[in-house]
Amino acid sequence: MKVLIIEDDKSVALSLVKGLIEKGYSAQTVADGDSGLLQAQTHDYDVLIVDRMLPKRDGLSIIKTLRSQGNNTPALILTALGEVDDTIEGLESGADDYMKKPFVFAELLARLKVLTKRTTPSNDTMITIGDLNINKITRQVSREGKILHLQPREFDLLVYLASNRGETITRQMLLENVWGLQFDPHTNIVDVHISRLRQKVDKDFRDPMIRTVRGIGYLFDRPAR
Amino acid sequence: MTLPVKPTKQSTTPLTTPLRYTFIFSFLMIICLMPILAGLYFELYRNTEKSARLRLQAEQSFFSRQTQNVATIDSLFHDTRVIALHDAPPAIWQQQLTKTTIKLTDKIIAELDWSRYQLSDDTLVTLIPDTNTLIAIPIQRKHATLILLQSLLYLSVVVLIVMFIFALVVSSRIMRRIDNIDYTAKEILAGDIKKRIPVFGYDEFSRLSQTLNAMLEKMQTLMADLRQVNNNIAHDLKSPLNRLRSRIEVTLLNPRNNEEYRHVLAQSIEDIDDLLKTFNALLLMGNLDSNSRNYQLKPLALSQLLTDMGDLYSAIAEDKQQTLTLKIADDIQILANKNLFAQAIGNLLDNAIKYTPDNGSINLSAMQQADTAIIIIDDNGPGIPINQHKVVFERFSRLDKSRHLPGTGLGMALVRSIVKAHNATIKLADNHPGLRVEIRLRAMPRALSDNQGQ
Repeated sequence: MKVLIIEDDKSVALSLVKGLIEKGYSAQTVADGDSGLLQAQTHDYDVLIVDRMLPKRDGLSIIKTLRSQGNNTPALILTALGEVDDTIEGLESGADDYMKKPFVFAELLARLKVLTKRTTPSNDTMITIGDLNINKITRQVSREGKILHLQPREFDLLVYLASNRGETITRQMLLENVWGLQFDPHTNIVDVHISRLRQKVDKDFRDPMIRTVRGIGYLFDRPAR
Repeated sequence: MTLPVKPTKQSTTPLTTPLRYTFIFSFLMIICLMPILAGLYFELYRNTEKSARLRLQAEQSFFSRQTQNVATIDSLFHDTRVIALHDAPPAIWQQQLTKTTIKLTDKIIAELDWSRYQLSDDTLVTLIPDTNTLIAIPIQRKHATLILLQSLLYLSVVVLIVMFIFALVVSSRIMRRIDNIDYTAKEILAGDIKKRIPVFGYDEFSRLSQTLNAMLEKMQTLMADLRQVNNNIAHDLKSPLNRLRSRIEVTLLNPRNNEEYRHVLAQSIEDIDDLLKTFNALLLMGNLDSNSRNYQLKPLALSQLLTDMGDLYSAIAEDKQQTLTLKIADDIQILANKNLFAQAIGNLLDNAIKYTPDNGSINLSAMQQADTAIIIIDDNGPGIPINQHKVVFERFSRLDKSRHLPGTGLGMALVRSIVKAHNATIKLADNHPGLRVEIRLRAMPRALSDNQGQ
């Protein structure tokens, strides 16, 4: 998996490279906007990590240019805390995700994994994972043939987890993608919702599908036999 | 603290501003007097000649009424000169035919030796009809000019003296007041921040002193607040750091297996994350309060956001057997930054759920009155004593009874900063029992929001 990091803060870039190589990625760094754009245009990458404020050319402009040239390499934008805080603007430019510095590396990793997978979007109306069946049209969920009665939000939560099966999903990602909210809730609010979902999806069955990843978030996959 | 240096009372510099102004003013006044005096001079010039003519006429008729014996005639004015005709130059003879009064010119004087008559060119001469006698009357213009110049000199001197005395008096009075302020300012500079400017009377200076005193008072309280906040920050950040340090220290005391190290490191990361959260909140508040960053406000469907937030938080309320009731009017639109506003509402709901005991009830309501959107979060928990209503918005100001509960002590301070950045107001009230938080801000007009949609 090849990652291009366009970041002018050397220490951030260095720790990113170190962490990514540790996790089996191959990573390259570029320190300014123009050479970043050139590098992204001339080489193939699986994902781009782009700082928002860069010398010579800002991060959003890089992504806009790439998209206009038909380059759809998934991109994640990084912003310093307190910079113009506008997720929408970031996403409108064609970026696929958005993170604030200082970030937690595990969170970044989780998002990168989801991003690289998203390049092959599944528009299936049915999701089947092991003995779990989700129908996105009728919003019906069944496990081992038994119908599960989920609240609308619980259904959304399950669909998000299921579409990213096998990937670690952080609490922040759940809050953003299921509730459309991006803030720091202080409390274990997402955990409470997950535990409710567990009550319905996992409790009455032998093998749990929702697993807790300590210190990071959750992972959803077919029961490990 | 540096040793306070007692400021010396500054000796008044001889050329104070009022004194300087007075000098400039009197100079200008003298310049202004010049044209007036010039006008006066010309008027005098004309009038002396006119009066000399009148005197000459009077003298002429006086003479004609007297006997023809020139030797015995008297003059009406003491400076009248009587001149025998044969002494007069031809120019006068010619003038005599027309019987007009003429002015002596240098040429006429030069033609004959008139020195014995002690005449100057500044003299009017005429012939007394039917006699061989001329009479001459000096105009005395030079004399008048002299008087005028003298009076100008006296006037200038008097003006200058009066002005100087006036300036000294005014200047010393003003300087006394300014010195007072200056002296106090120096004392404050030297470290005595409790010093205030003495106020006398009701003039501009006492008004200025009062304003300055009020400003000093305000700054002193702000400084005290800031010091308190700094102490709180230091204290609240110190304890988790201490905890972190001692845990790592204890771990390093003896060799342990990898699993144990891993566990301690993971725990430490959690603690560090908490600290980072606190710093982020502090930075965010700093940015919001100083307006240094541009947080774009965009149309936001408030009703939708509050419903989502209610949905999110109802789960933890239910865990505490609390009922979270939503009463949210449809289609309220505001201008807001969604993430920041969600943070504020989240903090308030979090507090309500945290402090309301089990089985309590919490309401989240929103309505629109004219062009104002009102958001109310109330609970039937213990509430907050009225005298603490202001305190809860301060950073790290946790009420004693909440010290044992988890939290950064920044929640409400952040709420206030966010509310301020949205030009909204927040008010705490007693809910009998419980706390009622009310946020008011401008709602977008319905017609407009219909067009813009979500």
